[in-house]
Amino acid sequence: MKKQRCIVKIINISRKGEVRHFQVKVPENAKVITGIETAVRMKGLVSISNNSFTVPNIGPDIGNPPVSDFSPNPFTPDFDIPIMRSLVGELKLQSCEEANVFYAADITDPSAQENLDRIPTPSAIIENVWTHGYKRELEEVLVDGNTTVLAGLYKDKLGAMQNRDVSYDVFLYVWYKLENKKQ
Amino acid sequence: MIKTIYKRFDLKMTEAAKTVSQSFELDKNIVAVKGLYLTADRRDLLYFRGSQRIEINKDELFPEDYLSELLMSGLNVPVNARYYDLGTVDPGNKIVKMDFKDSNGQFPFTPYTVSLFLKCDKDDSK
Amino acid sequence: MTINLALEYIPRRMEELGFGNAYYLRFRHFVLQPSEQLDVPAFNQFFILVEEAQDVSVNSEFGIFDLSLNTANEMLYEHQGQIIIKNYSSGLNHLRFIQVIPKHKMK
Repeated sequence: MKKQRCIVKIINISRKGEVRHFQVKVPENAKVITGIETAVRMKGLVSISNNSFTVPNIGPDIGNPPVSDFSPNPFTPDFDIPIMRSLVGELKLQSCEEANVFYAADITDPSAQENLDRIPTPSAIIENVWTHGYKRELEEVLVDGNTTVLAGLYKDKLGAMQNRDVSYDVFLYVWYKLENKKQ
Repeated sequence: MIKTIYKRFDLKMTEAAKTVSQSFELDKNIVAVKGLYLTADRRDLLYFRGSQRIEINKDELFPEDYLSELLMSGLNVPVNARYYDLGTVDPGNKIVKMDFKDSNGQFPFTPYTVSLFLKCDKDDSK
Repeated sequence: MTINLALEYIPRRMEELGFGNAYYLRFRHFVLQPSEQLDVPAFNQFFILVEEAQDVSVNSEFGIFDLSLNTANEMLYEHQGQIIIKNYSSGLNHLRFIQVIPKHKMK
């Protein structure tokens, strides 16, 4: 029988700079908490920040909403590559026991194309996160599963940086291993 | 002799914001499930709208609201690393069940087909 | 949090965290100048906020205490790590904590 299970916690954020405390219930048969995974889903359109840099005469116009086909777009001269911010917020988790605060991470949205790692080149294929995305790995932790409840803190950074209310869901997945009892 | 084989199961999403449950059966001589991979004919819809619960032999692998984006890996990932490593899962009664949920999001809905690929160990001698 | 509640809360909390009886207690009363920002490095320590706390914000590793903040759904009374205290008032302000210092060696 598979020994690893996962608890889902969904945090709804709707105001800029929101600070949200929450609790995740850990089941009785959890022996040890082994991993944490996070994801973000935006509601409504995400605005593009005012910053952008101008690249003359090369490459397709990436300013359009992403399309699912790979057909090249016609070249346009002097276009702006919008910089979409990927930092959404900050998450911390605290156990009730000795582990105390055991997890702290920045939650990012991989679908926000910051393009910071790319040199603009004439390219027929637009790299989108759903076609070229990297594999998402879970972050390993080792925390006693006896803690009945995990306290969590989430701070919104996306709305604070854009200075407007943004609406999104943060998904937190807590993986744990079961007791070795036969069931 | 144990061979590595890949099984594919398709699930059609025809209506927006609905959950579709489908069960698939693995071949009788499959002895272990080693990995899985999720894709669709519209990967952008799968990424922004999809989440699923997957169970094998009534044992839950991923809970409801486990976003599809966490099981997708793209062209930038080395080919041999693309499958999600499940370790070794006992197929038991050989029934794989997926409850796929489509949620309203940034992308407007059009019907799409979700494909679940399973990497399995098959025992030829049975 | 009243001081009585804090004194009942602290032994149980330290037991939960695995410190048992091995900690020191100090009562701290900060006097803050108008608009002062005070940094308190409280690593491996806990500061429990007690008594009234008006026109002030206490920001630390796991949360904020600020009665004027409308973006938080909870206030935190137990602070640890780097604590940043801001006095919003244009006059003197007072802030009281019970400082819990776990010992280095547990007997």
